[in-house]
Amino acid sequence: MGSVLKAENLVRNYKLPNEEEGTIKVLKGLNFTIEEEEFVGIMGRSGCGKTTLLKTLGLIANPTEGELYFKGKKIKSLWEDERADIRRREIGFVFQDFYLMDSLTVEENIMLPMILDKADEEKCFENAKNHADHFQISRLLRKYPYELSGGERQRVAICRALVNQPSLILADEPTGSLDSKSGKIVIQAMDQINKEYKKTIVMVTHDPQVASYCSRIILLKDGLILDELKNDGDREEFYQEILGRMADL
Amino acid sequence: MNKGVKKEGRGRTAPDHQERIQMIYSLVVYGLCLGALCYPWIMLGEKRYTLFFFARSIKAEGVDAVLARAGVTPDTSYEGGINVSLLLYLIFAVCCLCYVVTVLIRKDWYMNVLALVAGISLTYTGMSDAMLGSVCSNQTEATLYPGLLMVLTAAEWIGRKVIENWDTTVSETKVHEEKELREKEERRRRLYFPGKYKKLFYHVIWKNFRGNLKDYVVLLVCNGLVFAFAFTGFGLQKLTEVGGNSYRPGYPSGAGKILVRSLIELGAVGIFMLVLLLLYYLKKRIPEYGVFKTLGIRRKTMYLCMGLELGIGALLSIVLGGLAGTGLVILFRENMSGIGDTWFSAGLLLKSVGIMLVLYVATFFVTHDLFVGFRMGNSTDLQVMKEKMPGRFHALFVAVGAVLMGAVFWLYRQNSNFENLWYLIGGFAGVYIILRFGTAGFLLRGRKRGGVLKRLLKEHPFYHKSRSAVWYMFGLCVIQVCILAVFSLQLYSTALEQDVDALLPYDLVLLADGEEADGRLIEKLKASEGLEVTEYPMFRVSGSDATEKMESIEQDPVRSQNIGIPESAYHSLKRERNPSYQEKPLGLDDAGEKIYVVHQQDRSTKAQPIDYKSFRTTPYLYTGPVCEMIDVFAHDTAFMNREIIGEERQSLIGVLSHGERENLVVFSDTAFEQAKDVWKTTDPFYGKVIKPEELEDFAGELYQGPSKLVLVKGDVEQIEGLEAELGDFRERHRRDEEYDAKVKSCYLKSASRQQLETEFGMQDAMARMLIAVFFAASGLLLGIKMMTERKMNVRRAEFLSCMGMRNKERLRLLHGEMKVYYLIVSAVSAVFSAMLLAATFSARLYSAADIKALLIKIVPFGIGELLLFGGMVWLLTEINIRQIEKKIREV
Repeated sequence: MGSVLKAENLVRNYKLPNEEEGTIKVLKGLNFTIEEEEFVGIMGRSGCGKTTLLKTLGLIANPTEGELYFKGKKIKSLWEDERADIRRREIGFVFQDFYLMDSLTVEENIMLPMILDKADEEKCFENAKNHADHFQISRLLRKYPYELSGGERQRVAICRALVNQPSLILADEPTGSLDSKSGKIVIQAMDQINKEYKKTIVMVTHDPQVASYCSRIILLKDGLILDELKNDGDREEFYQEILGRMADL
Repeated sequence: MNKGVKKEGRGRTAPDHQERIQMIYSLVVYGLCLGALCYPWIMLGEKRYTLFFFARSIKAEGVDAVLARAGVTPDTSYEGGINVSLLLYLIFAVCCLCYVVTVLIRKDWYMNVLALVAGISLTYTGMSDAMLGSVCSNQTEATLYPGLLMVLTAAEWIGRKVIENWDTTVSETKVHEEKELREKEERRRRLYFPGKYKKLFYHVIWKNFRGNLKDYVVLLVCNGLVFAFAFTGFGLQKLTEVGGNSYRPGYPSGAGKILVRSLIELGAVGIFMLVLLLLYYLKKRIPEYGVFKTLGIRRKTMYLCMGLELGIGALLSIVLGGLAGTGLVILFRENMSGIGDTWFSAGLLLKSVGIMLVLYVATFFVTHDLFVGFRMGNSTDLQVMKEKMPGRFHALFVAVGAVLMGAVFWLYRQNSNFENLWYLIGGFAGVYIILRFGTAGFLLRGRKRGGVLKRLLKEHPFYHKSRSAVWYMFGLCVIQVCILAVFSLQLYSTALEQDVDALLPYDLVLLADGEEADGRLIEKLKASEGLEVTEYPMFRVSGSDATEKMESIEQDPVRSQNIGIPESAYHSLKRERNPSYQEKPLGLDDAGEKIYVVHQQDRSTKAQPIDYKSFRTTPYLYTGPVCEMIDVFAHDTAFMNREIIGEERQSLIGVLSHGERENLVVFSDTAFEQAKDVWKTTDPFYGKVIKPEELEDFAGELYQGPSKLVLVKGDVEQIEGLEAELGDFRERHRRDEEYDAKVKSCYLKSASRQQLETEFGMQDAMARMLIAVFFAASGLLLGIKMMTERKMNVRRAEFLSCMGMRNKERLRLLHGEMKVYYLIVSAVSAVFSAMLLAATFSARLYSAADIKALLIKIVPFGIGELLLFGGMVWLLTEINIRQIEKKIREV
């Protein structure tokens, strides 16, 4: 198995909205590799740089310093449209606040990455339907996002993330806005994606319960990797281990 | 040894190919230069000279003789200038010859650089006065000739350098081109994205756009309105132009000017609203495009979609606005008398489109940060982020704001500052500083006082969004001040001037001269029964500066023209208007340095100094007709720096030009007697004092202008019966009217009355419309504020509901916030308006009675308007609350 993502001394600074306040260093030199078919969780306290890391890994934000490799390609050497192509074809995004377009139906939202990839219309409809069937939201295809519950919206977002059959799924607190029942459905769906569809998943989460589904956890503290935890297969034991390390964060 | 350089006999190397080309090129160009030097370009009268023959003639006959032969008035200054020019040409010729020699012997002694320097000097001197070029009959050729020499020498110098570096440049360019080609190929290969977007793509883009259709339509309408106002404004400006000619473009007539000014004001508020709407629209749309970008849309495709969305909007608004504007212009053209017919031109369309483009570009700059980040996948909402508040020096800045406002109002209250808009803007800057630092100081100090938690929710919107809150308050203050102190004054000051007869006390005003024909007409008028004729001595008082019209750089200013009278005439005129007038000396001097000005303008016209641009309190005035070419800074002119020792606003002979022209300038009787003959020794073009020995040269050119002010009262029909005589009179005084179409030799009350009534009517209608539009604009601004903050308010309402706050309390919070807005805006606007009105009254030289009459109308209007504004704030708050509640219910 090859690596999907590889970070070498990854640094990311942000300019504050009020320019006179200067910049803040969010990621302070991270080194890690994410292998194919891994389910990696990123945990840490608020403000430690989890979302920033996810945006950098999703090629939405550029690293300020250091190198990031996506399937062996150096990201810094890519043109903007090349990064857009990778985002469209290779990466699926699942966000905490769903990031769906209210003016489009559920079906159109799911098909969006394929539509942007100039895919055949028939194939778009077929893929959207297949994924909707899989995640039991077929009855919602004609509805609009604002008519759905949080859990349903997140499942729509997951369908959209999968529709182009990307190799990497990036999820930013996918259960963050959901109640425990919906959250469980979503995280089980993510687990299923990893195991059945053999997709690599990188997920940011606060929730140890959710994190226990991951095969590996990267613990972040103040923009640096504090530790890495590996799941040996026993989820309950892994959950306890995560809980134990939470105090250090 | 360089590559390609061959060894020649006697140790010299033979020139290589490149050097040979350089040599040929230099010899050809310098051959042309030398050839040009032999060209007979100097033309004196009908005869042409080469430089050599010209120099020989000068040597043989002397400069004066040669110039006299050419018909040029000999002057000592020419001799030096011509000698310098000839010397420079000699240097140039020597440099050229030396350079040719150095090229042939292959030495680099920089003679071409020296020739170039000489060429530049020749070009410069060719454009200067009293040099060789200035005495030539063929001025254009004489100016261009040295320029040609300079261009040739420069071309040779540059050409040599280009040839020298040709091989390197070519090889570097080739490498660069190959690299570019490789990169292009690489780019094409890596970014290969075959196929076409399917129907679904366009469907999705359309649906996404349709989701914002309501906002888009509002934007389109606002856009269209701004374009319509701009289009109508420019069109009406063209239609109402008077006195235009090829030399001096026209300017709008009285009513047209009011119309154009009102449209500018409407346009300004439209622009303000448009920018706000565009900002609101873009802030809403950019995150939506951000979804597309996160999901990997190609950059070009996305920008194309956005560009089409905005471009089609702009195009539609241009078409709709253009149609509306055309309709408005036609409507005005059909309903206004005395205006032109042709108005449309490509320039007009371009100017209007230009305004739209500037607005768009400005708005994009403002939203630049949103564009750059696109906030892809970012759950952070910029709209709920805390805005920075000034942390220190609050009291100091509040004091600075107050001082600025005080200084501005002190300047604004002076008549000489003609109610300058910049002072008003300065005043508003003071208001902004006070609001920004005052509110910050109050809120931050409040944090240190007790009971912070009790006030926390109330003060939170202002504390968290301090910058936006102050901007909204400031915007509302500006609109309110415009309504309360600017347009209300425009409306009620016009209403005060219902008695147009009082503004035009005489039925006929003639500016006559001492010629026999005028004398006969005056005698005839005096002999007519039923006509009361008064005659006063006068002279034209012309300024060196401009009237109110703002001339562009390339235009000459329209010089002001007023009426000079002696002090005794002033007292008589005052007695005519008011029999109980008590005569008091004005304190004028015998030298004519001190003057008294009677601004002949009505109460609805803004302050108007005698000179517009500079020297407003000490104008340069000449006691004769306009000298068009006067240089105000020349010392030897008849334009004296006069000190205004007193001024008043009253119509003594009639409001003939709203105080822009035809004001009365009073001199002491002695000064008047001395000044009335100054024209006899003044150059009528440049205003220079003519020396006794030069007087002969100006024979036939000197012109006195009008010298008798004839005021006629009486039977209107009888005066109108004199149409033929008055026509002849104007024909005789055509020269007096020629310079400025607004200045006439004869003013008929009937015509002036009609014009004034039209202008008052127009001003009244426009003031009403502006009040209505600005009031609506304040509503729109509040609406935009509420729409922009709705998301944040919904979140807050959700949170507070969850926290168990009662509905009533929560709604009271929203009402409370808007109440603070209302109270601050009302208080600041009321105070600012009161100060502005006081300053304007002073600037317009209003009497106590005028002020009282105006305040009786303005104060109730102001109170009523503020109450109405309060009602609107309440209504909009209610609507906003309903929308928020609806959203919460949906959630």
